[in-house]
Amino acid sequence: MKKAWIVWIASTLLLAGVLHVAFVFAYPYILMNAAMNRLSVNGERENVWTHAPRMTETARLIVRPSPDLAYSSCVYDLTDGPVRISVQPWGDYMSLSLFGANTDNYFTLNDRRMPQAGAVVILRTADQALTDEQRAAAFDVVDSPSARGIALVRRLAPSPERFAEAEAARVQEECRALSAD
Amino acid sequence: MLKKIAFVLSILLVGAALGVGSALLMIRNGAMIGRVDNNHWYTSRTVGSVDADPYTRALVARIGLLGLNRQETVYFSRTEDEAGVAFDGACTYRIDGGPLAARWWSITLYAPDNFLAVNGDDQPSIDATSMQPNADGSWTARIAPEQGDAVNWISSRNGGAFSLSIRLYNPEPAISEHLEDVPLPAITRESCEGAGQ
Repeated sequence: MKKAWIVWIASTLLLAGVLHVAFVFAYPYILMNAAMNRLSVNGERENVWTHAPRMTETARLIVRPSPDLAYSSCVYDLTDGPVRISVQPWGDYMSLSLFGANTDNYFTLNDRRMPQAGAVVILRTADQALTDEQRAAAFDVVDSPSARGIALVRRLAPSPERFAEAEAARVQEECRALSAD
Repeated sequence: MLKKIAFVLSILLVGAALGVGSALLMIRNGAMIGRVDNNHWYTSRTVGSVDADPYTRALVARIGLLGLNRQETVYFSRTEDEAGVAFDGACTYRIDGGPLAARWWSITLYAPDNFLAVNGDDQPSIDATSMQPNADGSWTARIAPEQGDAVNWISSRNGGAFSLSIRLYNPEPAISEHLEDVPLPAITRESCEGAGQ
């Protein structure tokens, strides 16, 4: 009986420990996956920009949004090949940031580093090859740590007027599979 | 036989409850390794960073998904006034701030559900572009359910036990390298009409 109790306690603690670690590791992936599904309308809008309306009290897509920024998101999926992302210039703070499936912000390009005419970034997984022309046309080629992730553009647009200008700029931007060319 | 099944089943149930329960507790209670406290504001050195430990990453996934790393943006949050008392949307607070070494900054109020408070006021934040500073670079703002005579106002109506976030975009090293002692705005409770004090 005594031995059975020791086995019971040891097994329970071992299982608890393993599940604790597994859960903490899995948690960001689960939340990121849920965010990707929300932003892509369950995968229907992948490899395409979605331009969010002005963040108001009714916004419920992403926690703690800034009402002073214009956000555009593209849920990317590199399973069928690299994706091209283009961003337009903006006369104020803006950034393109990339997030992997584990929520890490593994790449950020802001307007200070960006060419004046905007930038083209090609996103791929490390094993995907590019042609010389594709490479030459890009400001940067970025290896994504995961096949799926989120590209996000933030533009400072604290007034309705600036927000309207942001809307005019961002409709010209591209998030598109190279294979769709 | 039945005893054996009960033995194994109880291990599975109790082990799963303990493992997942303790993990959730850690994540929900903000067991942020790398947490930095600065006069009632707090942040993490590792938000968005590829150096984040699993607990920080899990916590950030819950409260700051898609946040930028600290070279790009520094985020501080707080849930209490200068006296250490939790914010109450029915109260009036004064924010006293000075120049902030960032390209752009904003302070935004969030309801306990981590979204903007639903109040129809359209005044959830103040930011560097709309702020009218004094000659010495200092500035004041008000957090209250009503604007009153305040020029710089954040509405706390329906904010409940709200929290604030300050965003510092393109921070200078004076901020990103000195998270624990860079001067940040102070928030003092002035009155609490209609609230249970």
